[in-house]
Amino acid sequence: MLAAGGEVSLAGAKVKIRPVGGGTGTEVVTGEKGSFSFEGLPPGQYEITVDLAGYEPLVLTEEIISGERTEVKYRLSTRAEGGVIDVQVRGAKPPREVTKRTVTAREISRIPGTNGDALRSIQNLPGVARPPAILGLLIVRGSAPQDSQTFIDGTPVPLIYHFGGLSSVVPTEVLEKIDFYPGNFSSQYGRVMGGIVDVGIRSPKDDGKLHGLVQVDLIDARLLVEKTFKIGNYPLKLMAAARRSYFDAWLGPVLSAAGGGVTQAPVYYDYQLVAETNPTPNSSLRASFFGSDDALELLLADPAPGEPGISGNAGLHTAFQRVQLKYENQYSQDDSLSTVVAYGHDELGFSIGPLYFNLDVDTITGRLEYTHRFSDSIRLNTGFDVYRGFYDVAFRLPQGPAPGQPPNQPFSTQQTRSISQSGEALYPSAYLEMELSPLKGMKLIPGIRVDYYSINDSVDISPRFAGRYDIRQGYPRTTIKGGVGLFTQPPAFQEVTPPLGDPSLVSNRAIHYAIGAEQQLTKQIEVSVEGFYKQLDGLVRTGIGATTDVRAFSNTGTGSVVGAETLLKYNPDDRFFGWLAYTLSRSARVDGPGQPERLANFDQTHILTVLGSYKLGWGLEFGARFRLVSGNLVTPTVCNSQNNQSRLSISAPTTAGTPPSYNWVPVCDPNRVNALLHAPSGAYTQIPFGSAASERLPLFHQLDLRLDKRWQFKSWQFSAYVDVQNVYNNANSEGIQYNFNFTSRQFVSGLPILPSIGLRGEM
Amino acid sequence: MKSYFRRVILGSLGAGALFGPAVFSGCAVSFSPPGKVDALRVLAVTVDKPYIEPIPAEDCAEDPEKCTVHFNMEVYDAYGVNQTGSERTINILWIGGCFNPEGDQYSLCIFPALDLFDQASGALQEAVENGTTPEFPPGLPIGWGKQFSIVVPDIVSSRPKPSFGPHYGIGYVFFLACAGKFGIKEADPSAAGNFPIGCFDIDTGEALGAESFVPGYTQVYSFSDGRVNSNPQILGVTLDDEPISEDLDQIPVVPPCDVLSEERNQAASCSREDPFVACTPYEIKVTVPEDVGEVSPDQTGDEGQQLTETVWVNYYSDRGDFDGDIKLVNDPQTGYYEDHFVKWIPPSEPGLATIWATVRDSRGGSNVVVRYVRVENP
Repeated sequence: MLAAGGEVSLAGAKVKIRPVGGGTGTEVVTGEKGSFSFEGLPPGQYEITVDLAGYEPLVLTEEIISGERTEVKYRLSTRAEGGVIDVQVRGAKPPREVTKRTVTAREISRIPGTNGDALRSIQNLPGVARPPAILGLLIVRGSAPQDSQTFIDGTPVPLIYHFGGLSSVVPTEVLEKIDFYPGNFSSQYGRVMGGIVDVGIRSPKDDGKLHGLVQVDLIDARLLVEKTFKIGNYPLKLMAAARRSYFDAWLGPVLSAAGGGVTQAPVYYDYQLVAETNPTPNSSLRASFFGSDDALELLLADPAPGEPGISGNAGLHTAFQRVQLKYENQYSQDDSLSTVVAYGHDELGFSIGPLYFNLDVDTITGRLEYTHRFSDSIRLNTGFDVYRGFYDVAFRLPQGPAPGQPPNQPFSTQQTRSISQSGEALYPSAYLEMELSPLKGMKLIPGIRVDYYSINDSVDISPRFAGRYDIRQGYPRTTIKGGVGLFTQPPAFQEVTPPLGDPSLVSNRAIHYAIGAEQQLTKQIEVSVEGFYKQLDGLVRTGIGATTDVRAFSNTGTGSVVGAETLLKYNPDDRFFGWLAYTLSRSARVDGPGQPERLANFDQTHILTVLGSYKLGWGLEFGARFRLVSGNLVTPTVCNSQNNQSRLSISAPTTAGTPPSYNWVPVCDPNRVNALLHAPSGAYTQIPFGSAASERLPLFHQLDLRLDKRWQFKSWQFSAYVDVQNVYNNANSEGIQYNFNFTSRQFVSGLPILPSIGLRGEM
Repeated sequence: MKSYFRRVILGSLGAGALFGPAVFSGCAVSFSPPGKVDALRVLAVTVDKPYIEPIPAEDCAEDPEKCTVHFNMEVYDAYGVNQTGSERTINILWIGGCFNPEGDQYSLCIFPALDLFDQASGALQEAVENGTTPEFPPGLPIGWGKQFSIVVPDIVSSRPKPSFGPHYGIGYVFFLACAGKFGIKEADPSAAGNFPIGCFDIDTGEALGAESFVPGYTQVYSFSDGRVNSNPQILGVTLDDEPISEDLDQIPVVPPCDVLSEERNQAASCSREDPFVACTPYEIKVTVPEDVGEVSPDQTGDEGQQLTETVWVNYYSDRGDFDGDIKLVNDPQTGYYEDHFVKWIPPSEPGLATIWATVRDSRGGSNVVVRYVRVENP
C-alpha cells in the first residue's frame, strides 16, 4: 500500500476483503512496509475496501483465479489532493499467446495525438502500421486491414473506428482493457490471419453511489452514468453511455460554402448499455447492448471532375448493433465456464449518383469455453465458436466494358449492373488448447482449431503452438517466448458467392512464426524484442484482365512478412509513463505463378513511436508523442522530378564498326510518354512508370503534444485538455495526384497542425 | 488578466481546429484543367463507322469503301510557334492494322505498330528532310495528316465465339501528333512500361514533351449481328441560350474578365477572389437532339427496360475558363439530360477565344464542333 505521488509505504491501513454478492469478510492491517496478504482464498470475485485516516477510501473488485497468486499495488490519494487512483496488477496469469499487449487506462487517456481515445492508442504499439491519413484502418504486422479482427467482449464487430479514424466505436470510459495480439494468437480466435484486438467493457462501479461523466471536445460529446442497486441478495450493476459527434454543426456550413450542397454532414454516434449481476459469488451474468452509426450525405450539384454521370447525392452509412449475453462461472477451483452469445445487425451502404451498394447482415455469434485444471501443471481450455450470418446485398455498379464499349471511359459512363441477392453463411468451429507447465515458470500451449465454412463448403484445421519460459523469475524477470501456428481466413463473400465470385475458392492461409524475449531492466522499465515471420499462401487474387468472368478469382497469391519488434517501456508510476516502440518489417506478395514479388500495399519498413507523459504537479500533466514512419507505397505513373539520380544509357552504334555510345541520363525523363490519349473516351491511359507499389512516399514524421489539467472538488472532478496534432505542421505526403494527361504530379498532404480541446466533468 | 489570456489561447486553438485545414491547405497552385487548351492537344478523333459491319473479303474487293473506316482528327496547337519564333508544323502519323489482340489489350498492338513504324521510317526521314508529305510503302496501314482511312476486313469470324455475350471483333489504330519529327525513343529499362515512338525537335533532335507530342489510340468494333453505332449528332453551340454563328462576323462579343489567369489557377480553398463571382459567366451549351442516346443492345435496366448509351460532352477552350468541363447529356436509365451547359468566363486579355465541344457516346462514337467568341473591351 503506497501513497499516491511517491513510493511512501502506508502502514496501518485497514484492508477488508469479502466475496462479491455476499459472504463472510476478512480484515487485515498493512504492516510497516505497507504490505498485506490473504491466504487460501477460494477463486472468485472479491470486493476490497481500504481505509486509512487522511486518505480517500478505496473500493474495488479483484478476481482470484484458481492456482494463481495475485499481487497488487494500491496507491491512496490524500483527502485534500484527491485524484485518480492507479491500480497496477502484477503477477497476473501469463498469456496464452506469445505476445499479448495491454494498455492501461492511464496510458490510454493520456497519449498525445489520440484525444484520449482507447483504440487509437493501439496504433502506438509495435507491429501496428500507420494507416493512410483519415483512414481508420488497423494494419498489423504487414497484413491487410481486412486480415485482422476486432472483438467487443468476445463478439466480433465490423468496425473499430468511426469516420476517418477520428475516434473508436467504444469510448475509453467504458473500457476495462484492450488486449492486442499482433500474431500467433490463441486457438480461441480464428477466421483471420492478421491480428486480434479484443476490447473488454468494464463492469459498472459497484460502490452503490451514482457516478457520472460528461465530456465535450471539438469533435464529440459523451455522457456516462452508472450505479449499482441491490435487489434482494443480488447486485444489479447498471451503466449507460452514449456519444455523438457534432462536427456536422460546423463542417456542414463549410462544405456548403465550398460549393457542395450538404444534405447530411458527417455524423457518428455510439452507445453502450450494460446490466450485470452476480447470481453466485463465483459467477457473473451480463447483458449488453451496444452499437455504432456513421452517416454522411452530400449533394453534388455539379458532376465530379471527369465523371459526367455522377451528380446528385453521395452518401455513406455504416452501422452495427449487438445484443449480447455473457455468463462466466468458476464452478470450482478446477472448473470454469465462460460463454457469450450475441445477436447483431450490420449495415454498410454507399451511393454516388445512380450507383449504390447496400449490405445488411444479421449475425448470431456465440462462444462457449470450458476450462478444467487437471493439476498445477496441466490445464485444458476447450470451446465452441460459431458465426451465423444472413445477408442481403443490393448494388448497382459499373460492370466494366461490355463488348462494343471501349474501356478506359469515365467510370460513371460505363454500363451498370444491378444485383440483389440474399444468402447465409454458417461458420462453426471448435478448438482445444492445453496449458502445460512442466517446469516452474514454463508454459507450453499446444492447440488446435477446426473451422467449417458453408459458403465454400470447406474445412480448415489449424494446429498452433506457443510457449513462454521465465529463465529468471522474480525481479529482474527474464522470459523467452516463441510460437508457430497455422491461421486461415475464408474468402470474402463477394469473392466466393456467384455470380461475381467463385465458390471453389479455399481459405487464405498464413503460418506465423515468432520468437522473442522480455527483460525487466528496473522495477519500472522493461524491454521486449520479438522477431516474426509470416508465410502466406492461397491468397485470393483477381485474374488479370478479368471482367465479368466468374472464374476471375483464384487462390494463386503467396507472400511473406518478416520483421522484428522492440518495445522499451517505462511502466506507469506516480509521475511518468512512456515507451519507445520500433518495428522493422518487410511485407511482400506474389500475385500468381511466374509473377514477380512486390511489396505489399501497406508495407512500412520502419515504424518508430516515442511517447511519454509526465505529471507536473498542481493537477497538470504534459505528454508528447513523436512518430517517424516510412512513407506508404504508391504505384507511380509519372516519375518524381525531385529525383536527381541518373542512369547509364547505352546507344547502339549508328554505323558499323563504331562502338556504342554511353551517356548518363536522368532517371526521371521529363519528356517521357506517361499516358496515351484514348480518343473514344477523351481520357488518358496511363503507362506505369513503376510497378505496383514501387514508390515510397517521403518519410512521415509528426510531433503531437498534450496538456491536461485536473481540478478536484469534494464530490466530483473537472478536467480539461489541449491536444495538438502535428505541432510543427509538417506536410506529410499521403498520396500522389496527377494532372489530366499525366504530365505532372504533386504530393497530397495529410492533416496540418490540428489543435483540439476537451472538457470533462465526472463524479 | 489570466482568464483573458486563457480565453485568447483557447479561442485561438478552437479557431485553428476549425479553420486550420483550410488555411494550411490553401493557396497551392492547382493543375491546369483538361478543358483548358494551352499546348498541343488532340480534341477529338472521330470515326465514321464506330461499329463496322463484318463483310467478306470478296465483297470488300468489289466495293472497298464498304469495308473502309475513315478517321478525322481535330487538333490544335496553342503554342503556335516554336522556340525560335517560327510557326510550328504539326505532323500527324497514323498506324493501324492491329486486330483482335489477346484479351482485347491495346498494349499488345504497340510492338506490331513499332514494326510498321520501322518499315515507314525511311519515308518519314525523307519527308522531314525535303519538307514533303511522306510516301509510305504500299500496303502498309500507315497514314499521314488529319485524315486516315483503313480497310477493316471481317474481323469477327476469325475469332472464336465467346461463351456468352455477342460475337465481336476489335481493331486498334494509333495516332501521333507531333510538333517535330518522329523517331524511336530509347526505352527506360527501369520503367514498368515504355512507349517506343517519340517526337523530336527537327533542328536540335531533342526529345519533345507532352506540350508538343500527343500519342494516342482509337478503336473500331465489328459485330456478327451487323449492329451499327452512329456518331452523336450536334446541332450547334449556344452562348446564354443564343446560337453561336459559324460566321466569324456574327459571333458574340463579350468583355474580358479582369481576374488574371494565374489568380484563377489557385486552389478553391485559397482566399482569392472567385473569378466566377467577380466576372460575368456565360453559359455555353452544345445543342444535340433529345434522342441523341441510341439504344444500347444487350443492355437492360433494373426492371428489364431497354437502356440507351451514355452520352457526354467535353468542353475545351484556348482562352477563358470553365467551371467544369465535362457534362452528362444522356443517362442510360433516365434519358436526355437538359442541363449539360458549362459556365465560361472570358480571359483577361481581348482576343478571339476558340470553344470546342466534343460529344462522345459510351460505344466509341464521337462528334466535335468548333465555335468562336470575340473578347473585346467595351
